[in-house]
Amino acid sequence: MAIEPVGVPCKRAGVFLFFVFSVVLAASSISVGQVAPRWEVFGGYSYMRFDSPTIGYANWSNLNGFNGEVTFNITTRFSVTADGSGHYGSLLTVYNYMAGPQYAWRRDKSKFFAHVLFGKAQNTVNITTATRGGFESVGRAFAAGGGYDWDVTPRFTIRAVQADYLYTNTFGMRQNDVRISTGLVFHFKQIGHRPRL
Amino acid sequence: MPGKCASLVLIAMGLAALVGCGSNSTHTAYVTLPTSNAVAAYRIDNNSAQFTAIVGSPYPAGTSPSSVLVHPSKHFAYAANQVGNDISLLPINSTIGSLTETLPRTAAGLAPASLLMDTPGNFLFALNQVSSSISVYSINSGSGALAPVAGSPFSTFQNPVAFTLAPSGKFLYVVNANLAAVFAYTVNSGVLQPVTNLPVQVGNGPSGITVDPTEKWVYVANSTDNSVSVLSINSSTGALTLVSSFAVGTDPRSIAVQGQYVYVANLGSSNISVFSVNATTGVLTQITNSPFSAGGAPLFVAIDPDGKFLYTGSQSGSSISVMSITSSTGALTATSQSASTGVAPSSMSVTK
Repeated sequence: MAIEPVGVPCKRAGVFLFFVFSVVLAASSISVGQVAPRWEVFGGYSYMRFDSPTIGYANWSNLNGFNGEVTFNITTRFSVTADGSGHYGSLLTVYNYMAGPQYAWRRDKSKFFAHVLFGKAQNTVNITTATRGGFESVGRAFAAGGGYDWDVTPRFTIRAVQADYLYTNTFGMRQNDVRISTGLVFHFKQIGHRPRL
Repeated sequence: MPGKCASLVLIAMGLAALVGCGSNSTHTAYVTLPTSNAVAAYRIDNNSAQFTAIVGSPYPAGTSPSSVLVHPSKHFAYAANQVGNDISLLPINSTIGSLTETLPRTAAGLAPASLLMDTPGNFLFALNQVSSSISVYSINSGSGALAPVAGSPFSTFQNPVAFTLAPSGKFLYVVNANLAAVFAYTVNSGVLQPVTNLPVQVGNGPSGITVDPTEKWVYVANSTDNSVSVLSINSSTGALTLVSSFAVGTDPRSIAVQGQYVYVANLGSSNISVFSVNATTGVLTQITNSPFSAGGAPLFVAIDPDGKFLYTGSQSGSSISVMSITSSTGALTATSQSASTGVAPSSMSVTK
């Protein structure tokens, strides 16, 4: 069965917000930093808006949980990331395990990043019937998104926001979800060099 | 930093707007699957009639559930288990719409084939085909538990095959196949009393019956005669008078009424006969292009609460098919929407 498209007013709002983002970003002068940590470990709170009508719910589900990442910076710009998250709601548990490439723009204490991730989703509906204690489905997961980090000290960073579009395929249906996370990032080792004055 | 943070917040809001904005309005449908001993559950989109199976569906019920009804509170549903000779109480999860049966089941007569409920949800009626009786239960509004009313079960003539309840809850009508007749009862706090008139003869092989929402007419599908009989209701006594019978397709089994239009499911000819009703005389006139092809031997018809769609239970296709209703003419148009049930469905209940 095809997934029902969202209403036109929602799409217009989304297009408008993306346009505003593009203008804001273009107005910011971003240059690539020359120093980066070799390892970054992120952990924090995460919110997910889960596409539960695809599995028979009357409405979308608002889930709360956690998000963690381990990033290995190959260069100051390119890295690979392993991402794991868990979100919980009324009768619903959603786990995602993904990995993929990430690109970063760094300047002073700021870091913008964007990534694409591939992996698995494990979704459980915790309802009890006469013969089952719950229903679980494991399927494909794909995420595309990015975020912004601000260095507080050389050792750790505040991840102000990370926003991902998340596609999963569970219970024989396709879900289109949104995940928003925030938290702390810890740094280990260093690569690159600072420009001579 | 504030500007960059602002832009990222806007990203997040944009993503949420694109993907998460606005939930679709849906109805919920429950379908009995006798050979699976289960009840299937679906969300139906109000505008497109797209079916989405609720996770975990179908849900176990008793042995051979043949009829399902949802309580007006939407907190629980009931299924009549025709082979199990009992009734399942199925509380509904308010978030998902899933069913989880509460045991033990409530005993009924032999072969309870159909269920009825009065509009407020105070009483449940079960038609016992083999023991030729009607079991009547009061419903606990909190738990949904059933308790037989005094005098239940109430005897009927042998081999009752279908029954219907007037919207007011005052009158109940039972189709008897052996006599090809309809018996009338008054209903008072769940207690049935025969209306003193003799039963009214209809066509041969009566198999389905329904009352129109205005409570002026009763319609009976006569599967042997391939006709539908129209009877007028005496609003004071509940007594019936035959108006006339009208030709339909082959082996009509089920009838639904929407406004001034009557829809008859013809199992043998796999189509739906559609009539307009003369509000004064009760005479039926078949509309243009009727009958409409339904495909797959439709056993029952149901109309969605908004009156936009007609659902048919296909026996050969093991599915629920959807036809859109043109409100001005009553005409039906096939849609691409359907739901595979896996096995032949026997009844359907759709709620808002």
